[in-house]
Parts: sequence; structure tokens; C-alpha cells
Amino acid sequence: MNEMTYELLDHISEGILILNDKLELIYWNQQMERITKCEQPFLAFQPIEQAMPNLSKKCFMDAFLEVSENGLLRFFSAMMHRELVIRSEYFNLKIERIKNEGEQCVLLEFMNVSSQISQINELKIYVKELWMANKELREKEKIIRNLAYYDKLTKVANRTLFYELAEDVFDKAKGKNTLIGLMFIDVNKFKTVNDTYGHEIGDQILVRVADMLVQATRQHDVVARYGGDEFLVLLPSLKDRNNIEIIASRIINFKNRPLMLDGHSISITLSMGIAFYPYDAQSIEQLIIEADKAMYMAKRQDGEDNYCRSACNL
Amino acid sequence: MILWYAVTKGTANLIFPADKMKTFINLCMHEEASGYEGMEFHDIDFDIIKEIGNIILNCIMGETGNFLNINFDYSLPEVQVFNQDDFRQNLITRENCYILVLYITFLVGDTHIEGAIIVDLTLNSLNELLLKVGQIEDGLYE
Repeated sequence: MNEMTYELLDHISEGILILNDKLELIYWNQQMERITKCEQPFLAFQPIEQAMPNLSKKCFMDAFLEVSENGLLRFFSAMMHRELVIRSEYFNLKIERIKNEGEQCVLLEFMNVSSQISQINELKIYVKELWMANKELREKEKIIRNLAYYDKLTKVANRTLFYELAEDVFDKAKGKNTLIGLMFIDVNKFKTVNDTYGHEIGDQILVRVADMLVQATRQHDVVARYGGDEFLVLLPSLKDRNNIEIIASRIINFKNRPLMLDGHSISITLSMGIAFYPYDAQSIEQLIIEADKAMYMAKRQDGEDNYCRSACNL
Repeated sequence: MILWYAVTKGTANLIFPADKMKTFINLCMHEEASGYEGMEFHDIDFDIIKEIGNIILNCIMGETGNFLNINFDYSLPEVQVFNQDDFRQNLITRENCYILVLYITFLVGDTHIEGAIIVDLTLNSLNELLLKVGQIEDGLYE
């Protein structure tokens, strides 16, 4: 290489090393001197592994030989090979074969990527913080949504969610001409249970009843606490009005197991009123009224657990 | 992707599914996968892929070159992220449309990485490679 080439190499921003075919250092540009704080004359004709002990690992030495003998191109990334040159900075290393005055030489090009890496790392921290904040926000939104839409005690839908879901169910049923069933369920003599065993047991009974209703119904049915000891079960897309009896029987079967609460074996009974869209009502409000009426009819009947269908039939 | 410019001209593409490559990068950097990163690739990732791609393609191209006694003069890999449509378009609009597909699979620790190498060749280059293979084959029976 002539003087001008060396001059040129001294003015580029990459660190440049040139090795001869014995892998000894024959050139070291000024940028490399600045990075390592070593001057070229002290290092001339030293084997590379001595001049730069960080490059004495087998993977680098094999790469130098491959490049020197076969003319392959090799690339080493700063993040996989940290402290390639000095501890405080990151360098990518490119190795290729060049010819210098008829001799095969190996060119090592060190590209400083420290500022890119620090920017990326800052960005990663920022993205992580943003992601965490977003995650927290979503969790809070979920809590708020649960508070707004679910009954705190029984965890089933509250009135607000029931009306929202019922509206959708009605729209679909009107569009597709399908049958909707609604059950209005009341725990018989709940006040007596509360007075006898206390409000805590009363609350536990409501939780158990809600669980039973969820277990006895289908996945897409809506179980909601309407208030006090009253529950609603909305049953979309029923094939036949008689099918609701299967669900009513399942509820009674579940309920027949006595509840063991705080050492007390407590049996409860339910009254259920049933109404259907489109037979008994044309709106959800009306359907609730009809199911409620049917529930009172059931309550007036003899026996323990009863269910009655609405007598309305529009 | 690497390009080579000897008598035989062509392009070698190393293709990996983005999620597998993301896992691989995390393994190389000894980092646990964190839920927030998604499928974004940045310069550090590209450098790591470049190094891995360089090693794999050196092996394949180097061995092929040695075997067929052809000197491939080639560049460092360029790294690009494609969606499926872009990639299909990229292959269709290429000048070199004769392709050689090599499936590769390797294990890093317990992680299974699958990918493929697609070598695009011009018709002349493909003929030249086949001629070389033919010559070697003839040599076996002499």
C-alpha cells in the first residue's frame, strides 16, 4: 500500500488493523491508537493474539485463518462479543482478505456501535416502562369493569351487565326469530335464614346459589343477581320451550344437596318463574315482569321447590 | 441474503421465521424473552443475525465452492424483515428465478430452530453448477 492509502486509513472513523499471512500485525491506524491508547510502533509484527489478547479466543483465531486461507468474509457482532477491544465500548468486527504488494493480508475493521447500543438500550427501558404502565392500566381497567359489571358478593353479572347482554340477545333473537327463556329465581324464606344463622351465612348461601345456577346452565346463558336474594337466568337460542324444564331440573338437583356452612347443614328451597320471548313479552323489561309474576305463582304453590311458566301468552 | 459475483452469479437467502429468530437472538444475548418486545427487530438484532447468517452461509457456500472447485466471491449478508406477501413478491420479481431450497434445522440448548436456505441462480449459473456436478460424476467412473 502506498503512503496515500495509509494516510487515508488514518482519517477514517473505523479502527483498522492489517495482519500478514502469519497473522502478525503490520498496520494499525490512528483511530485504533485512539481507541486502545497504544501506538503502532510498539505493536508492529506482534502476533495478533499478543497485541490484542481479547482476540486470542479460538473463534477469532479460526476466523483469521479461514479468511487468510480461503478468502471468506467474517463478521462478529458487538453484543455477542462484548469487550472485543476495550471494556467501555462496543465494536462490530468485519474481517476480510486483501492483497498488499502481492501478499495475502487480513483486514480487520472495527466499527464503533456504542452509541447505537446505548440508544437501543434506553429505548428498550422506555418501551419496558411503557409496557408495564400499560399492563397496570389494563389490570385497573379490568378491576373497574368487574366492579361496574359484576356482583361483588356472588361474582355473577349485576343488573347493568345483565341489561347490556340482554339487549344483544334480544337484537339477535329478533333478527333470527329465535326463542329466549328467562328464569326469575328467588330463595325461599331467605329472611328467616338470615335471622336464624346471621348475615354472613346468608351471604354464603347467595354465593352457593349463584354457583349452582352457573353450573346448571349452559356456557352462553347469563346468570345475574337482580337484587337481594333474587337471580335472573337468561337463556338465549332455546330450541323448544320444554327444554327449560331440563335446566330447571338441573338447578333443583344441584340445590338438593344440603349446604354445609360453618358447621350448619342448611337446606334451602327456590321458587322459579319462567317467561319466553316472543310468547310472553316483546321486551326484556316486560319479560322480567312476566317471569317475576310466574315466580310469585310458584311461591304460592304447595311443596318446596317449584317453577311456573308465565300464563301471559301474548 | 448474500450476493456473489464470480462467474457463477446468484443470491443466497437464509430464511427464518421471525419468532424463531427472536428466540435465537435472546439465546445469543443470554436474555430471557420478555412479553413486551413483540416482533420488533433493531440494529443489535440485525448484527446478531448477520453474524449467524455469515457463519451458516460461509459453511454452505464455502463447502459447495470447495466441493465444486468454484471460487465464490461474496458479500456479507444483508438482513431484512419480510411479511409473507412482501417475501413472495420479492421472490417473484427477482431476476434469478431458478432456486435451490435447503432446509436447515438446529438445536441450541433446548430450543429448536428451523429455517431454510434459498439459493437463486440465473439459468447460466445453474447450468454451470450442473456441468461441474456432471464433471465430478464422470470423474467417479473413470
